[in-house]
Amino acid sequence: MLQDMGMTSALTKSDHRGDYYTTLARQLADFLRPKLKQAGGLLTLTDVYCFFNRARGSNLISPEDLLQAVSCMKELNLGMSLRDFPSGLRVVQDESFNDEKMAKKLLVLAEHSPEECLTALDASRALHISALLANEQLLSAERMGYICRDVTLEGTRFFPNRFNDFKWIS
Amino acid sequence: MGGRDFEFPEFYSFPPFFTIQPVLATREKQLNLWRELILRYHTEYKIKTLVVHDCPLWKNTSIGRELDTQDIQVIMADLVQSGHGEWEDPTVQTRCRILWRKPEQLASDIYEWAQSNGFVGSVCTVYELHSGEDVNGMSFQGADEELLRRALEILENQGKCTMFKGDTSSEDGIKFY
Repeated sequence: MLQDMGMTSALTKSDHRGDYYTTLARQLADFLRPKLKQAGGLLTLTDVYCFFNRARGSNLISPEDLLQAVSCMKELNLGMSLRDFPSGLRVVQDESFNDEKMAKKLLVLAEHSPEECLTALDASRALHISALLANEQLLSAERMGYICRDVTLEGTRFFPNRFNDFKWIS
Repeated sequence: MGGRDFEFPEFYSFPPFFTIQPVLATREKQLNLWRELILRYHTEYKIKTLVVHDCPLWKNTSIGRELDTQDIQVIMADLVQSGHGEWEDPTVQTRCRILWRKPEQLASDIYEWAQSNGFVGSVCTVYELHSGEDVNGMSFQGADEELLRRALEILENQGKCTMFKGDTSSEDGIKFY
Protein backbone atom coordinates (compact mmCIF):
# COMPACT_ATOMS: atom_id res chain seq x y z
CA MET A 1 0.00 0.00 0.00
CA LEU A 2 2.07 2.89 1.25
CA GLN A 3 5.02 0.71 2.22
CA ASP A 4 7.38 2.42 -0.16
CA MET A 5 6.91 5.62 1.79
CA GLY A 6 9.09 4.01 4.42
CA MET A 7 6.49 3.97 7.15
CA THR A 8 7.35 1.59 9.94
CA SER A 9 6.01 1.34 13.40
CA ALA A 10 7.92 3.03 16.17
CA LEU A 11 6.60 0.65 18.81
CA THR A 12 7.90 -2.81 19.46
CA LYS A 13 5.10 -5.20 19.09
CA SER A 14 6.89 -8.51 18.82
CA ASP A 15 6.30 -9.53 22.42
CA HIS A 16 2.66 -8.69 22.85
CA ARG A 17 1.45 -8.95 19.29
CA GLY A 18 -2.13 -9.90 20.01
CA ASP A 19 -2.62 -7.20 22.62
CA TYR A 20 -1.02 -4.60 20.44
CA TYR A 21 -3.44 -5.10 17.58
CA THR A 22 -6.42 -5.40 19.88
CA THR A 23 -5.53 -2.14 21.57
CA LEU A 24 -4.85 -0.46 18.26
CA ALA A 25 -8.15 -1.73 16.91
CA ARG A 26 -10.03 -0.17 19.81
CA GLN A 27 -8.12 3.09 19.44
CA LEU A 28 -8.91 3.17 15.76
CA ALA A 29 -12.56 2.43 16.32
CA ASP A 30 -12.96 5.24 18.83
CA PHE A 31 -11.14 7.61 16.53
CA LEU A 32 -13.12 6.58 13.46
CA ARG A 33 -16.61 6.52 14.87
CA PRO A 34 -17.42 10.21 14.29
CA LYS A 35 -15.53 10.29 11.00
CA LEU A 36 -17.39 7.29 9.67
CA LYS A 37 -20.70 8.84 10.57
CA GLN A 38 -19.72 12.03 8.80
CA ALA A 39 -18.66 10.10 5.71
CA GLY A 40 -21.91 8.17 5.49
CA GLY A 41 -20.62 4.88 6.86
CA LEU A 42 -17.65 4.06 4.62
CA LEU A 43 -14.02 5.13 4.57
CA THR A 44 -11.26 3.74 2.39
CA LEU A 45 -8.34 2.13 4.19
CA THR A 46 -6.08 4.73 2.66
CA ASP A 47 -8.16 7.55 4.11
CA VAL A 48 -8.17 5.86 7.51
CA TYR A 49 -4.39 5.52 7.35
CA CYS A 50 -3.94 9.19 6.57
CA PHE A 51 -6.46 10.49 9.10
CA PHE A 52 -5.15 8.36 11.92
CA ASN A 53 -1.47 9.01 11.38
CA ARG A 54 -2.00 12.70 10.84
CA ALA A 55 -3.84 12.85 14.16
CA ARG A 56 -1.15 10.85 15.92
CA GLY A 57 1.69 13.05 14.76
CA SER A 58 4.29 10.61 16.06
CA ASN A 59 4.38 6.85 16.72
CA LEU A 60 2.85 6.43 13.34
CA ILE A 61 1.39 3.08 12.41
CA SER A 62 2.41 1.18 9.30
CA PRO A 63 -0.01 0.08 6.61
CA GLU A 64 0.46 -3.51 7.76
CA ASP A 65 -0.41 -2.57 11.32
CA LEU A 66 -3.52 -0.80 10.11
CA LEU A 67 -4.64 -3.81 8.11
CA GLN A 68 -4.05 -6.17 11.02
CA ALA A 69 -5.89 -3.94 13.46
CA VAL A 70 -8.84 -3.37 11.16
CA SER A 71 -9.02 -7.10 10.42
CA CYS A 72 -9.79 -7.90 14.05
CA MET A 73 -12.41 -5.21 14.50
CA LYS A 74 -15.28 -7.46 13.57
CA GLU A 75 -14.63 -10.12 16.19
CA LEU A 76 -14.04 -7.43 18.80
CA ASN A 77 -17.55 -6.11 18.14
CA LEU A 78 -16.40 -2.55 17.68
CA GLY A 79 -19.32 -1.58 15.45
CA MET A 80 -17.28 -1.48 12.27
CA SER A 81 -15.26 -3.85 10.12
CA LEU A 82 -13.03 -4.36 7.12
CA ARG A 83 -14.73 -4.89 3.79
CA ASP A 84 -13.27 -5.91 0.44
CA PHE A 85 -15.06 -4.87 -2.72
CA PRO A 86 -14.85 -6.97 -5.90
CA SER A 87 -12.76 -4.23 -7.48
CA GLY A 88 -10.11 -4.71 -4.79
CA LEU A 89 -10.96 -1.53 -2.91
CA ARG A 90 -10.77 -2.01 0.85
CA VAL A 91 -12.81 0.02 3.27
CA VAL A 92 -13.77 0.28 6.89
CA GLN A 93 -17.52 -0.02 7.03
CA ASP A 94 -19.87 0.94 9.84
CA GLU A 95 -21.98 -2.08 10.79
CA SER A 96 -25.16 -0.07 10.29
CA PHE A 97 -24.27 0.62 6.69
CA ASN A 98 -26.75 -0.98 4.36
CA ASP A 99 -25.92 -1.59 0.71
CA GLU A 100 -29.52 -1.82 -0.34
CA LYS A 101 -30.38 1.45 1.35
CA MET A 102 -27.50 3.12 -0.44
CA ALA A 103 -28.55 1.58 -3.75
CA LYS A 104 -32.08 2.90 -3.36
CA LYS A 105 -30.69 6.31 -2.48
CA LEU A 106 -28.64 6.30 -5.67
CA LEU A 107 -31.66 5.22 -7.70
CA VAL A 108 -33.68 8.14 -6.37
CA LEU A 109 -30.80 10.51 -7.10
CA ALA A 110 -30.65 9.27 -10.68
CA GLU A 111 -34.40 9.51 -11.15
CA HIS A 112 -34.43 13.11 -9.97
CA SER A 113 -31.43 14.31 -11.91
CA PRO A 114 -32.07 16.44 -15.04
CA GLU A 115 -30.95 13.78 -17.52
CA GLU A 116 -32.12 10.89 -15.37
CA CYS A 117 -28.56 9.64 -14.91
CA LEU A 118 -25.60 9.85 -12.54
CA THR A 119 -21.86 9.84 -12.94
CA ALA A 120 -19.56 8.84 -10.08
CA LEU A 121 -18.77 12.53 -9.70
CA ASP A 122 -22.47 13.44 -9.39
CA ALA A 123 -22.94 10.75 -6.76
CA SER A 124 -19.87 11.83 -4.80
CA ARG A 125 -21.08 15.43 -4.69
CA ALA A 126 -24.57 14.46 -3.63
CA LEU A 127 -23.43 12.03 -0.93
CA HIS A 128 -20.38 13.99 0.22
CA ILE A 129 -18.06 11.05 -0.23
CA SER A 130 -15.01 10.53 -2.43
CA ALA A 131 -15.57 9.73 -6.13
CA LEU A 132 -13.80 6.43 -5.58
CA LEU A 133 -16.28 5.35 -2.92
CA ALA A 134 -19.19 6.76 -4.89
CA ASN A 135 -18.15 4.67 -7.87
CA GLU A 136 -17.95 1.58 -5.71
CA GLN A 137 -21.47 2.21 -4.45
CA LEU A 138 -22.75 2.72 -7.97
CA LEU A 139 -21.24 -0.62 -9.00
CA SER A 140 -22.87 -2.24 -5.98
CA ALA A 141 -26.26 -0.76 -6.88
CA GLU A 142 -25.76 -1.96 -10.45
CA ARG A 143 -25.05 -5.51 -9.26
CA MET A 144 -28.28 -5.40 -7.26
CA GLY A 145 -30.18 -4.43 -10.39
CA TYR A 146 -31.29 -0.95 -9.33
CA ILE A 147 -29.35 0.89 -11.99
CA CYS A 148 -27.77 0.15 -15.36
CA ARG A 149 -24.94 1.72 -17.29
CA ASP A 150 -24.44 3.82 -20.39
CA VAL A 151 -20.84 3.78 -21.63
CA THR A 152 -19.63 6.40 -24.08
CA LEU A 153 -16.34 8.10 -24.86
CA GLU A 154 -17.29 10.73 -22.31
CA GLY A 155 -17.38 8.11 -19.58
CA THR A 156 -19.86 5.94 -17.73
CA ARG A 157 -23.28 7.14 -16.62
CA PHE A 158 -25.81 5.22 -14.55
CA PHE A 159 -29.53 5.23 -15.31
CA PRO A 160 -32.43 3.73 -13.38
CA ASN A 161 -32.73 0.11 -14.52
CA ARG A 162 -35.75 0.41 -16.76
CA PHE A 163 -34.97 -2.88 -18.48
CA ASN A 164 -37.21 -4.43 -15.85
CA ASP A 165 -40.21 -2.43 -17.04
CA PHE A 166 -39.92 -2.09 -20.79
CA LYS A 167 -42.66 -3.80 -22.69
CA TRP A 168 -43.32 -3.50 -26.37
CA ILE A 169 -46.48 -1.52 -27.05
CA SER A 170 -47.65 -2.40 -30.53
CA MET B 1 -38.89 -0.52 -47.32
CA GLY B 2 -42.55 -0.79 -46.31
CA GLY B 3 -45.15 1.88 -46.84
CA ARG B 4 -45.43 3.06 -43.27
CA ASP B 5 -42.55 3.94 -40.99
CA PHE B 6 -41.56 1.39 -38.40
CA GLU B 7 -42.51 2.60 -34.97
CA PHE B 8 -39.48 2.26 -32.73
CA PRO B 9 -40.20 1.27 -29.15
CA GLU B 10 -39.43 3.44 -26.13
CA PHE B 11 -36.38 1.45 -25.14
CA TYR B 12 -34.69 2.28 -28.45
CA SER B 13 -34.17 5.81 -27.07
CA PHE B 14 -32.84 4.61 -23.73
CA PRO B 15 -29.06 5.16 -23.87
CA PRO B 16 -28.13 2.07 -21.79
CA PHE B 17 -29.83 -0.06 -24.47
CA PHE B 18 -26.69 0.52 -26.55
CA THR B 19 -24.25 -0.68 -23.87
CA ILE B 20 -24.13 -4.42 -23.31
CA GLN B 21 -24.87 -4.65 -19.60
CA PRO B 22 -22.27 -6.34 -17.41
CA VAL B 23 -24.79 -7.55 -14.84
CA LEU B 24 -26.15 -10.81 -16.26
CA ALA B 25 -29.74 -10.51 -15.05
CA THR B 26 -29.99 -7.07 -16.65
CA ARG B 27 -28.20 -8.25 -19.78
CA GLU B 28 -30.70 -11.05 -20.26
CA LYS B 29 -33.59 -8.58 -20.31
CA GLN B 30 -31.65 -6.31 -22.65
CA LEU B 31 -30.88 -9.10 -25.10
CA ASN B 32 -34.53 -10.18 -25.08
CA LEU B 33 -35.47 -6.66 -26.13
CA TRP B 34 -32.86 -6.56 -28.89
CA ARG B 35 -34.10 -9.90 -30.19
CA GLU B 36 -37.68 -8.68 -30.26
CA LEU B 37 -36.66 -5.47 -32.00
CA ILE B 38 -34.74 -7.37 -34.68
CA LEU B 39 -37.60 -9.79 -35.29
CA ARG B 40 -40.30 -7.17 -35.50
CA TYR B 41 -38.28 -4.82 -37.68
CA HIS B 42 -37.36 -7.51 -40.17
CA THR B 43 -40.87 -8.93 -40.24
CA GLU B 44 -42.44 -5.50 -40.78
CA TYR B 45 -40.22 -4.72 -43.73
CA LYS B 46 -40.29 -8.31 -44.92
CA ILE B 47 -36.50 -8.54 -44.85
CA LYS B 48 -35.50 -12.17 -44.68
CA THR B 49 -31.78 -11.71 -44.14
CA LEU B 50 -29.95 -9.49 -41.72
CA VAL B 51 -26.67 -8.29 -43.19
CA VAL B 52 -24.63 -7.43 -40.13
CA HIS B 53 -22.66 -4.46 -41.46
CA ASP B 54 -25.73 -2.98 -43.16
CA CYS B 55 -28.29 -3.26 -40.40
CA PRO B 56 -29.63 0.20 -39.49
CA LEU B 57 -30.72 -0.90 -36.02
CA TRP B 58 -27.27 -0.77 -34.45
CA LYS B 59 -27.19 3.02 -34.43
CA ASN B 60 -29.65 5.55 -33.09
CA THR B 61 -28.44 8.95 -34.23
CA SER B 62 -31.21 10.79 -32.42
CA ILE B 63 -29.64 9.89 -29.07
CA GLY B 64 -26.09 9.63 -30.35
CA ARG B 65 -25.58 6.00 -29.40
CA GLU B 66 -24.39 3.00 -31.33
CA LEU B 67 -23.25 -0.53 -30.72
CA ASP B 68 -19.66 -1.48 -31.41
CA THR B 69 -18.66 -4.64 -33.31
CA GLN B 70 -18.25 -6.69 -30.14
CA ASP B 71 -21.68 -5.64 -28.87
CA ILE B 72 -23.24 -6.61 -32.20
CA GLN B 73 -21.57 -10.02 -31.99
CA VAL B 74 -23.08 -10.60 -28.56
CA ILE B 75 -26.54 -9.72 -29.84
CA MET B 76 -26.22 -11.87 -32.96
CA ALA B 77 -24.92 -14.81 -30.95
CA ASP B 78 -27.94 -14.52 -28.68
CA LEU B 79 -30.32 -14.30 -31.66
CA VAL B 80 -28.88 -17.44 -33.23
CA GLN B 81 -28.79 -19.30 -29.94
CA SER B 82 -32.46 -18.49 -29.35
CA GLY B 83 -33.32 -20.24 -32.59
CA HIS B 84 -34.56 -17.07 -34.30
CA GLY B 85 -31.51 -16.61 -36.50
CA GLU B 86 -29.45 -18.83 -38.75
CA TRP B 87 -26.13 -17.91 -40.36
CA GLU B 88 -26.08 -18.26 -44.12
CA ASP B 89 -22.28 -18.11 -43.81
CA PRO B 90 -21.37 -19.60 -40.42
CA THR B 91 -17.62 -19.16 -40.89
CA VAL B 92 -17.65 -15.44 -41.63
CA GLN B 93 -21.02 -14.62 -40.05
CA THR B 94 -22.06 -11.66 -42.14
CA ARG B 95 -25.54 -12.75 -43.28
CA CYS B 96 -28.17 -14.11 -40.94
CA ARG B 97 -31.53 -15.55 -41.96
CA ILE B 98 -34.26 -14.21 -39.66
CA LEU B 99 -36.68 -16.81 -38.35
CA TRP B 100 -39.67 -14.91 -36.97
CA ARG B 101 -41.02 -18.17 -35.68
CA LYS B 102 -38.72 -21.00 -34.76
CA PRO B 103 -39.24 -24.01 -37.03
CA GLU B 104 -39.75 -26.21 -33.94
CA GLN B 105 -42.49 -23.88 -32.71
CA LEU B 106 -44.22 -23.91 -36.08
CA ALA B 107 -43.89 -27.69 -36.32
CA SER B 108 -45.76 -28.29 -33.10
CA ASP B 109 -48.33 -25.59 -33.94
CA ILE B 110 -48.99 -27.20 -37.32
CA TYR B 111 -49.37 -30.68 -35.91
CA GLU B 112 -51.67 -29.50 -33.14
CA TRP B 113 -53.81 -27.73 -35.71
CA ALA B 114 -53.82 -30.83 -37.91
CA GLN B 115 -55.03 -32.92 -34.96
CA SER B 116 -57.77 -30.53 -33.86
CA ASN B 117 -59.02 -29.93 -37.39
CA GLY B 118 -59.19 -33.58 -38.39
CA PHE B 119 -56.31 -33.57 -40.83
CA VAL B 120 -54.65 -36.56 -39.27
CA GLY B 121 -54.84 -39.34 -41.80
CA SER B 122 -55.60 -36.92 -44.59
CA VAL B 123 -53.76 -34.55 -46.85
CA CYS B 124 -53.34 -30.82 -47.34
CA THR B 125 -51.07 -28.71 -49.51
CA VAL B 126 -48.29 -26.37 -48.51
CA TYR B 127 -50.36 -23.53 -49.93
CA GLU B 128 -53.30 -24.40 -47.71
CA LEU B 129 -51.03 -24.33 -44.70
CA HIS B 130 -49.96 -20.73 -45.15
CA SER B 131 -52.96 -19.30 -46.97
CA GLY B 132 -55.89 -21.68 -46.59
CA GLU B 133 -59.22 -20.76 -45.05
CA ASP B 134 -58.77 -23.07 -42.10
CA VAL B 135 -55.56 -21.50 -40.84
CA ASN B 136 -56.95 -18.15 -39.81
CA GLY B 137 -55.15 -16.89 -36.72
CA MET B 138 -52.62 -19.72 -36.70
CA SER B 139 -48.97 -18.90 -36.13
CA PHE B 140 -48.04 -20.38 -39.50
CA GLN B 141 -50.57 -18.36 -41.45
CA GLY B 142 -48.71 -16.29 -44.01
CA ALA B 143 -45.44 -18.00 -43.15
CA ASP B 144 -42.59 -18.09 -45.60
CA GLU B 145 -42.66 -21.34 -47.60
CA GLU B 146 -39.03 -22.01 -46.83
CA LEU B 147 -39.74 -21.74 -43.11
CA LEU B 148 -42.83 -23.96 -43.44
CA ARG B 149 -40.79 -26.62 -45.16
CA ARG B 150 -38.27 -26.60 -42.34
CA ALA B 151 -41.10 -27.07 -39.87
CA LEU B 152 -42.57 -29.89 -41.96
CA GLU B 153 -39.16 -31.53 -42.19
CA ILE B 154 -39.11 -31.62 -38.41
CA LEU B 155 -42.53 -33.26 -38.36
CA GLU B 156 -41.36 -35.75 -40.97
CA ASN B 157 -38.39 -36.67 -38.82
CA GLN B 158 -40.76 -37.19 -35.94
CA GLY B 159 -42.85 -39.48 -38.08
CA LYS B 160 -45.83 -37.18 -37.86
CA CYS B 161 -46.17 -36.53 -41.58
CA THR B 162 -44.79 -37.27 -45.03
CA MET B 163 -44.34 -34.82 -47.86
CA PHE B 164 -44.94 -35.55 -51.51
CA LYS B 165 -44.48 -33.53 -54.65
CA GLY B 166 -47.27 -31.69 -56.41
CA ASP B 167 -47.31 -29.94 -59.78
CA THR B 168 -45.92 -26.77 -58.30
CA SER B 169 -44.10 -26.32 -55.01
CA SER B 170 -47.21 -24.77 -53.44
CA GLU B 171 -49.15 -27.85 -54.38
CA ASP B 172 -46.74 -30.15 -52.59
CA GLY B 173 -48.75 -32.21 -50.23
CA ILE B 174 -48.47 -33.23 -46.63
CA LYS B 175 -50.08 -36.27 -45.14
CA PHE B 176 -50.40 -36.20 -41.38
CA TYR B 177 -50.26 -39.22 -39.14
